[in-house]
Amino acid sequence: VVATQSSVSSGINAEYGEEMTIKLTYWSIRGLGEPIRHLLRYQNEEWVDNALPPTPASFREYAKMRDQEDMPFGNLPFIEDDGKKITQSITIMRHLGRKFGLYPSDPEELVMCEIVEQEIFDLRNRITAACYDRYAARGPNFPASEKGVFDHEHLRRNFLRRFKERIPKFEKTLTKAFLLGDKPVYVDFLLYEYLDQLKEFLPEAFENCANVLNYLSRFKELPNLKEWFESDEYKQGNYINAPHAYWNGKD
Amino acid sequence: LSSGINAEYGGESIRHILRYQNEPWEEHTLTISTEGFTEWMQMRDADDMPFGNLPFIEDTDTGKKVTQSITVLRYLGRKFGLFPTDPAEIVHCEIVEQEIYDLRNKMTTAVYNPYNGFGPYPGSEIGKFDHEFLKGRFAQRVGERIPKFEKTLNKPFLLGDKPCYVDFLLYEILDQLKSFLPEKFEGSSNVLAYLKRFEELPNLKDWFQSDKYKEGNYINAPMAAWHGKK
Repeated sequence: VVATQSSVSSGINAEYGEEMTIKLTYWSIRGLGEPIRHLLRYQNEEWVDNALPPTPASFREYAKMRDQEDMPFGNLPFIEDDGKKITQSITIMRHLGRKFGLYPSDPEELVMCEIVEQEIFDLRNRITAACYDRYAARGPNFPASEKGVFDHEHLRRNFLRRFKERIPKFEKTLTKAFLLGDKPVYVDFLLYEYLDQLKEFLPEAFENCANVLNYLSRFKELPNLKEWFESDEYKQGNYINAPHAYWNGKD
Repeated sequence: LSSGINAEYGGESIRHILRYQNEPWEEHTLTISTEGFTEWMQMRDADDMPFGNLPFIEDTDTGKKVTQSITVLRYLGRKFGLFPTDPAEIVHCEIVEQEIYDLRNKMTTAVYNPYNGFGPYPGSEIGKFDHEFLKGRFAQRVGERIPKFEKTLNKPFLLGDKPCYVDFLLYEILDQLKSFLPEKFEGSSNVLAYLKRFEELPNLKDWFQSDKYKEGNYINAPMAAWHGKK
C-alpha cells in the first residue's frame, strides 16, 4: 500500500525509516514523472512522492538540490533509493523495473521492450517540443527572443501527421494483455502514461484504435493501480505539462 | 555479421562500435531525394520493421531489425561484451546514456527549423525560427553539463580502463558539441583528454587517421541551420 507525502521545505531531515523508502522528487504535474508514480503505486511497498508545486519558490528549492555533490547531472525527476540518487526518467524506470521483477530476461523480448521504450519516449518529447514556447522569457536573466515566433498550431499539425503514421504500429503490437504478454513490464508503465497523454493532446489519432484503447483500459484495472484510478485525486485531473505551457492538458 | 543501414547523421556511434569490434558491416545510405524518400517509405512500412525509424540495423546473424540508435548501441553492446554487469555501473552508465539523449535532442531543437515546409506540406505562416537564440540557450545548458562530465571522466573511459557501449555515444556527442560550441570546452582537460584517448583505441585509430575521416562529414542534415560540415 502506498504512503504519499509532499515535502514542504528542504529543511526536513530524513526521518527514521525514510532512508529505506524510495523517494521520488518531481514537479506535481504528470509530465515525465507519472510513469514512475504508476510503477511505485503498483508495488506493495511504501514510497514517498516529493511532488513540488511548479512555483518560483520550489524552483529555488530544486536548484539547491540540483547542485549538490551527490547529484549526478542534476535533473528532475530523480529518485533516492538505498542512499543513491538516480536521475533521468528512463534510467529510473529501468532501475525500478529490475528491482521489482518488471524487467524482461529473454533477449528478444528485451530488444522489443527497448525499441518501444525509445519510441514512446521520443513521442513524449515531441509533445514537449510542440507545447512549450522556446522563445518566451524564463525569468529576469533569460529574456525572450526578439525574432523567434512560436506557432503551436503548425507544430501540432506536423506532429499529428507523424503520429497518425506511428499509431498503427502500436495497434499492431498491442495484441496481448500487456506489451510482452500476460503481465506488465516496466515499459508498460511508460506506454500507458504517454499513450494516455497523447490521447489528450491528439484525440483524433486514436479513432479506430481498438487494441490501444483496450490496452489503456486494461492497465487501469491492474491491482493497486485500480484504486488510484478510482480515487478522487485522480478524477480531479492533473497537468500534463507545466501550467505555463501553451497546452498543458488541464486549463 | 551485421549489415548497417544508416542515413541519419546520428548513426556515427553505431559505426564507431562496429569499427572497434572489427565487425564487417554493409552500409546502405539513403539519399535525401524523392527516390531516397520513396525507398525509405517502403522499408519503413515493411512487416518486420518495428516502428520504422532511421538509423536501423539488420543483424544478419538473426535476421532481426533493430531501430532507435540507443537501442541499437545497447543491443550491440550486449552482443560484443561492451555492456556492464555490475548494477551500480549499469545505473551510472544509463544515467550518462540518457544525458546524451537529452543533449542530442536539444541540439536538434536548436538547429532544425520546424516551421519549414516539407514536400507537399506547407510551412508555418507565423512561426519564425531564431537559431542564434536557441543556440544561446543550448550553450547555457551545455556549460552547466560539461563540469559534470569533467568530474566523471577522471578515468580512461566512462567505467574504467576499457570502453563500454556508452563511450561510443559519449565520444560522438562530446565531439559534435565541441564543433558546435568550442568555447564551452576550453579548460576541460579531462574531457579533451578523453576525446583524444578514444581516437587512439585499436581499430578506431585507423579510422581517425583515414582520409575519409579527415574529409569531414555532416553532423546534422545539410538543411540544418548548423550542419557541422566544413
